Amino acid sequence: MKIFLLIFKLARRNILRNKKRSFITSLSVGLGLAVIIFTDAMTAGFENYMRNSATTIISGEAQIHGEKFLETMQAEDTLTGYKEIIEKLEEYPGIAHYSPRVISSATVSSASDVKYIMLLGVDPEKEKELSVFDNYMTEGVYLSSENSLGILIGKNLAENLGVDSGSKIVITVAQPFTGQIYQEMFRVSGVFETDMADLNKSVALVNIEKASEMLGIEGSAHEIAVRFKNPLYAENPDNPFFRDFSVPGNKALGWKELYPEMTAIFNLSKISIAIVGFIIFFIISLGIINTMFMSIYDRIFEFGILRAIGAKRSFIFMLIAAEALFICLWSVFFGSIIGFLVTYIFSITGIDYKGIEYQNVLLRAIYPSIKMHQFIFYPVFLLFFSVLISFYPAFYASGISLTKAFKKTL
Amino acid sequence: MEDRRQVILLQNLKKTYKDGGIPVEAVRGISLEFERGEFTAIVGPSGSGKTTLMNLMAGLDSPTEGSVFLDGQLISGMKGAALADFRRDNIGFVFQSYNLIPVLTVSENVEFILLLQGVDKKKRRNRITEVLTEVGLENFSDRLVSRLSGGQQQRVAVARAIAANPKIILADEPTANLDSENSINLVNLMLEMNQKHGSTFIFSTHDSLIVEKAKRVLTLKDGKIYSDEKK
Repeated sequence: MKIFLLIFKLARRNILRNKKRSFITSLSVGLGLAVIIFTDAMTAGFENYMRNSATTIISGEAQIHGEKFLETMQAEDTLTGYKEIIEKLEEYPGIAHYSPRVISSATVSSASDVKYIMLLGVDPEKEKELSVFDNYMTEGVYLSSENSLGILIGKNLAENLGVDSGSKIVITVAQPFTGQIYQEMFRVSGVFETDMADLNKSVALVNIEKASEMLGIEGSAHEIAVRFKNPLYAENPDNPFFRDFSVPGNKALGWKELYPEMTAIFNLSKISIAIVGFIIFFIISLGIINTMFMSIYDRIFEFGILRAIGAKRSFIFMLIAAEALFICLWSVFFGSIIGFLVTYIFSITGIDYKGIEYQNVLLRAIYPSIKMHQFIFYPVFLLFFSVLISFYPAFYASGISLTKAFKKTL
Repeated sequence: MEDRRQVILLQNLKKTYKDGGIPVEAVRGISLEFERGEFTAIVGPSGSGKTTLMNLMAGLDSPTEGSVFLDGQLISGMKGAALADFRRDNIGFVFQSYNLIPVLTVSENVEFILLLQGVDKKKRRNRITEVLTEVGLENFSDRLVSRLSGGQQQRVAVARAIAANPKIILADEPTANLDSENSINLVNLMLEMNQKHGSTFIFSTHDSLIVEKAKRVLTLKDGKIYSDEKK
């Protein structure tokens, strides 16, 4: 124990011998740590943004569909036991909001053009609680339950059709069970522009009753989007909700299963962080090794003295490792502070990605997300890694031949 | 039968180095004895083998041939931790310069070897006070050695060398970087230790002052004993 205290005392004082070198090394290693912390925070912020865009704008955190609907997207694949599901949802614990939807492909005609679209029949009040179309209105007003012939369309669709708020457009659908064509004229009550490009180009919202009537599926729906009181609930497919609502004929899925590509992107992000982390830690390790070797070359004679008067090789080995540990403790201090400050500033100001579209999501400002693990896992890993890396110079120093150390003396 | 006065015995000691692939015979079959309490100077021109001989006696290098016994123990066959422990307990060192740990204070430098020996705190404290008083540095115990003069630093080195009560003290050109006044003081100090405690000192030196004070002068030439003069 006394020897360890002696080693730590010596190591602590040794790194203060060349303060400038120790400071620069610690700062550069600390900057590496800060970069990793910031990268992780940016990735977390990006994930939050993508997740929020996906779940907040339209899909909710979970959805219940007819068993085959997601595969076929056919209007005849409606929910089984729609009314029972609604009753169950009303009483189910942990549900914050839900919104039933009727979904069908359709064509929309204006005086100047015809477009193929996705028609979404929604309950205006329930949909307002679940998605954010009402927040993305660029002109006109949101849907109203009283106005069954009002329609909301995306901004790009409005531009393509050459219409705006108040214009008349005609929606045509094919009824799934009869094969009959059904046409209805709507008046554009509002135009929206969300962060999801596809929605702006090819989605129109009408009242659910009108959509059901057009498709001839009154009293049923294709989808119920759900938002939970605890958003994290949706991330675990083993939670009871998914079992309770995946009754025969229906399937309940969380957003991770609804958007497997997004989950894949998040996993890819984690791999990217690991690669960036590996590269940065590799560069850090070269810096540490270089500093330790410079320090060793300066003190070869001193190591010879220590060995001559009775210090064992293991003493020298531990001394070098302890010096690396102290340098890295400084680095962790600098890195954590710099990492926190930079991340904190950008978590308030955000980083502007406006105009960039990624995975059909229009990016705006990304806000790095500060997480506890960034200030525990990476610093601890840095300490562990640095001490491990220091074994190389430590092994070298402990193995220096005494005659070489004392080349011109004893 | 072992001679109890004998502290070092060198038997047909040889050391050959390879310098740029060319073998160089630094020590060529030296056999010597050193007795307890000797104050010996090893002199000779550069390249005569002084350094190599001192390294071999200290166990800092191993001979190509021959044996080194210290207090009856064969040290030329020892390795690793056993040799480190043996050096720690039996050999004191005073080097030319830079031979202290600059980040430690005077007392910490002396304490270092006692800590390695596992001496308990109270005994360490007493011993530090004792040896620092002997070398006249009792009032400098908390000062960093880097803030001492060259002469004072060498006194600390002597204090550290004697702290563990070693069997021999090997000193390599201890006065080489000192002015004449400090050199005289240091040599007198070591002579006093030798006379007071019977400590065995072996010097490698060019300093005529040490040669003058030495009780025995060994002259090396071309890796061999050229003369062995006892006063």
